[in-house]
Amino acid sequence: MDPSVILEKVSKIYRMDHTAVVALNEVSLEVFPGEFIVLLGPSGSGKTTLLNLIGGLDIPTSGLVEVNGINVSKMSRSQLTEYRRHQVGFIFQFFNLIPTLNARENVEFAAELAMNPVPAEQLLKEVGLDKRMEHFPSELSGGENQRVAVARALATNPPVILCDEPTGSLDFETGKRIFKLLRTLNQSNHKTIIVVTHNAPVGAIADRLIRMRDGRIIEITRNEKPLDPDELEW
Amino acid sequence: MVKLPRIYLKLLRDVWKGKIQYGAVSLIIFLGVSIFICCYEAYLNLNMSYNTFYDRLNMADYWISVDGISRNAVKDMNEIAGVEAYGRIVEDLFIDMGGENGEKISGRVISLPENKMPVVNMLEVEAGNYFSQSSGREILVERHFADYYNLKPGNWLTLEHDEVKASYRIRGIVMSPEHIWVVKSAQEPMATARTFGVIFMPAITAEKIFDMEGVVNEVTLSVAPNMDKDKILAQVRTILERNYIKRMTSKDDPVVLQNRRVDIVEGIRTAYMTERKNMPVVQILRQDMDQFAMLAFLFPILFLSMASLTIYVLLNRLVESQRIQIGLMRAMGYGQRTVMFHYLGFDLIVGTLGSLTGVIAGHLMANGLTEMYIKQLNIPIIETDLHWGAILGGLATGLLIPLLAGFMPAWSTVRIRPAEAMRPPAPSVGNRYIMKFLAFILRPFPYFIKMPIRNIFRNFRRSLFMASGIASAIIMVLVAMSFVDAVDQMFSRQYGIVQKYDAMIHLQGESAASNVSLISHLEGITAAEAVLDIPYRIRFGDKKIDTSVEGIPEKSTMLNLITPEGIKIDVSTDGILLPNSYKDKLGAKIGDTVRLEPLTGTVGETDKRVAGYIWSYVGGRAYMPLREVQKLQRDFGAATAIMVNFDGPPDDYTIKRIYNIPQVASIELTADTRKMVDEQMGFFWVMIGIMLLMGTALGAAIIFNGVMVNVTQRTREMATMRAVGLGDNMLSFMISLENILVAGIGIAAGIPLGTYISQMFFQAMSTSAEDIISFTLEILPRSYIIAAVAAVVIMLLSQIPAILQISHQNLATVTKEWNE
Repeated sequence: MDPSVILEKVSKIYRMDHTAVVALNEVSLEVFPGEFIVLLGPSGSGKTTLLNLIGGLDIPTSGLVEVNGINVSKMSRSQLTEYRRHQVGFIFQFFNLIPTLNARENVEFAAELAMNPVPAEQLLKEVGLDKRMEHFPSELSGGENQRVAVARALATNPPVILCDEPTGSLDFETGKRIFKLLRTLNQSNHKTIIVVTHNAPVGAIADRLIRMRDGRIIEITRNEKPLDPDELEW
Repeated sequence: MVKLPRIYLKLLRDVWKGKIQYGAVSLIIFLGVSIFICCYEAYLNLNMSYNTFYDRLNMADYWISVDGISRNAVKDMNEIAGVEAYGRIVEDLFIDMGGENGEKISGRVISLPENKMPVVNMLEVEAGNYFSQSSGREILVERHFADYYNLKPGNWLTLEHDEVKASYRIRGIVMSPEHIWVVKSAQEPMATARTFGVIFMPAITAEKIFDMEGVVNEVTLSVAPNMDKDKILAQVRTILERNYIKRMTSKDDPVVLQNRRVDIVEGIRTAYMTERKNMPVVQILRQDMDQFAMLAFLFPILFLSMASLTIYVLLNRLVESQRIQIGLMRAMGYGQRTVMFHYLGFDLIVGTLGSLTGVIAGHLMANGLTEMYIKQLNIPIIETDLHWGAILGGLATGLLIPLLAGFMPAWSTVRIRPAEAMRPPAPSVGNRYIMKFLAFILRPFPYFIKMPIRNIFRNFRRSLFMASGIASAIIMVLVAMSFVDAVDQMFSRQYGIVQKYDAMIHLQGESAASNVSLISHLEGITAAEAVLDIPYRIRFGDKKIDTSVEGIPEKSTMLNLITPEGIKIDVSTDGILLPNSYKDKLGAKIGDTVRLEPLTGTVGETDKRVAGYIWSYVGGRAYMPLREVQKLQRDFGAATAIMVNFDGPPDDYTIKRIYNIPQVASIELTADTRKMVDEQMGFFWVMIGIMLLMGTALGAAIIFNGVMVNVTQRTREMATMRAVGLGDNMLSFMISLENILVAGIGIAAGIPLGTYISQMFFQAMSTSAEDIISFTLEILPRSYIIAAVAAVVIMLLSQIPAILQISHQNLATVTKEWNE
């Protein structure tokens, strides 16, 4: 099986005044379709940068980023926009929902960009919010907000879902439910999911756990028997 | 049902969420556009109404005054292709108002055809009828005069000429295009209906009274459009020459005194032609229209500049606060242009709302204003129209300005990189060096003083925006107050300082000044001084002004002439005193020598040193000692009027005694004139009220937005301050202190700017009125205080919603989340 995400010697250097900050240092990685990956590392280890490069939110200083056969590293801004529209879905720590749109409208906000969108109602039902569709973000709990964000990420039916600290602002139980949801989507919809976290126990639910430090991958561990999110403890 | 794309829905919901702020910007655009449409359409409407009225009554294009010309010559002029001519007799006489006092006022008689309307300067009969078949003792009375004295068709009026009195029955009350505004002469533009009336009588009667059978002394000409006017005037000249009138002069082509002497010696007769544009009535109406045109541009510029500044600040704030949403949109695949246009959408909504409502309200107000103004002048024709040029101009400006102002903030979204947008921005700390300097000098102060001062410099652009809002409010209030002050000063100076006489008794022609002693000895009169007023042209280099020179006694107690600075100055043999408004028009400095050329007669030409400039508000005159003017006229006993003071309010008996003196033409009571002028100010006060209201609205809208942006930008910071124990009152104090300090900057900038803009207004008004009315800018200290206090009060009131918002914050939520 061909990998859906390929990173070859990818570096990202940020220049601030006269100082160069190396966020990623020649990182190479392959992610296969339907894999559930957890990127683990302390703050500043480069995990979010890596996620942003895969998601086309940023371009590498050097190296190759290829997603589903598309070379993301050499894309123009408009090509990156097109890429993000169809290839990836994002889930953020602070949900980043549009506060002036209700749950259904937030999902439709993304769906309208896709050629073959998944109906918002169906997605919200899948994430268990079929009774809360007309509620605004301010009327929903943190977990519900994040579930809307998950539904929104799926709205364009992308093959890859990128999650940046998706449970960072949620309590333990809610966080577990979100991971359960992501895992279900991964298994039932065959989505490739990459989760960034600094919460070490979460690694247990992944197919592969990738540890990062100082902009490098220091360890890749394969879980032969990933843990059910329900059994997570931290 | 068609589903609205979610990005548009977000736009609409965002606007609705910030409805008060966006509404405030729309209000500013609304005010700017509505003032523009209102004033500009009113200007166009008035132009149309006047022109339609002029056209309907075929107002003359030219008035040619002569000493006398046969009716046949007028017939010849009528033969010129494209010309309609009517010859008439125009003479001044007295109208005996009868009553117990035997009061007489000045009157002007204009002759008309017996059985039909004249072809030029037709009349609108308001009440009664035109002359009947047997019109011998019938007259028509001009409306202003009839209204004042409540004259009705069927009443009788006694006219006096050459001490011969005759009574005439009023056949009708009429309106004339020449007398929309009754102007006696350029020197007396404020003639009131109480002291001056216009009477129309059949030509046959006028010929008899003035002994001018078969002769007229004024020809009115109406020229068809698209005719070669120069060619026509050349033909008119030929006809005049055939009738022994060898010269035709005009305001633009005056006859010099030297020529006049030659003319008299050689028996050359002269005609004086006045073009419609130079008629005092047209000039006065033009001045009002120019004011509308000026308001149509000056205030909207101010409003729309402020709107653009507000939009710039608001949208910057919006983009800043929606960084994450922008990042999210970009992350989800929304293109750069889509995001940029999304934010321009805010400007489009605000602009559309403001300009559409502004155009509608402006149009309605224009119609109302036109109607109100025309009704005040009692013109029967009100022409209002939808002026598409103005409407489209207003709409386009109201839309383009917010779009241009919001372009930079919207464009900035293009530069936001999605990955960066996901991280919270570093809080703004301002210029490091300034902040360090402030920290040093503010060391001794407590935090509730330190912080507001530092906050001003922390986001200086925002503080400048607030200050400019205050400055705009100050400008509007000051401009309005400058008018109030000018009028106030005008009245208090004219009637409190300058004009110390209770009445001016006008004498017939140049009568004997000896009447002074006669009048001063009348019971009830405490003092009397003679005045000799002679029409003169004053020249300095190639500049000239037609005016009159008034001789008054040296050390006069009735007329206190003052310099523009308010210092009393007496006439002396040292030279001539000129009105301050002539300073720029003539360009003569004190000590320069001006040439005086009499406009009538053949004597009195002289050179005079400019001894000083004096304050004058209307129909400016030059002043010299009475004896000097008498000497120039070679008549040491001449006087044209007598100023008198009464012992208390004048009683009927005293007035009657004065009227009984044969040389007395009319009595003008100062109290009556002042009352009349006061009554005519009604429209003016409405305009001032509107200006003050709009200034307040502008200031409030800008300050409200400024404070809201100020507060919302620091929501978390303020919540944190509250969370650590700062009370609501202390927080309100800190916000108020910061705003008051910013208001100080705005006031400091607004006062000189407001003074400058007021100056522009007054200058424009003075030049548009030419020699008729000269306004002097006078802003009293009280106005500066009122403007500053008003700005601070508006500011304090406008910050209330923001303070309430802070005190109602959910501390737990706000301190936790960094996005809005």
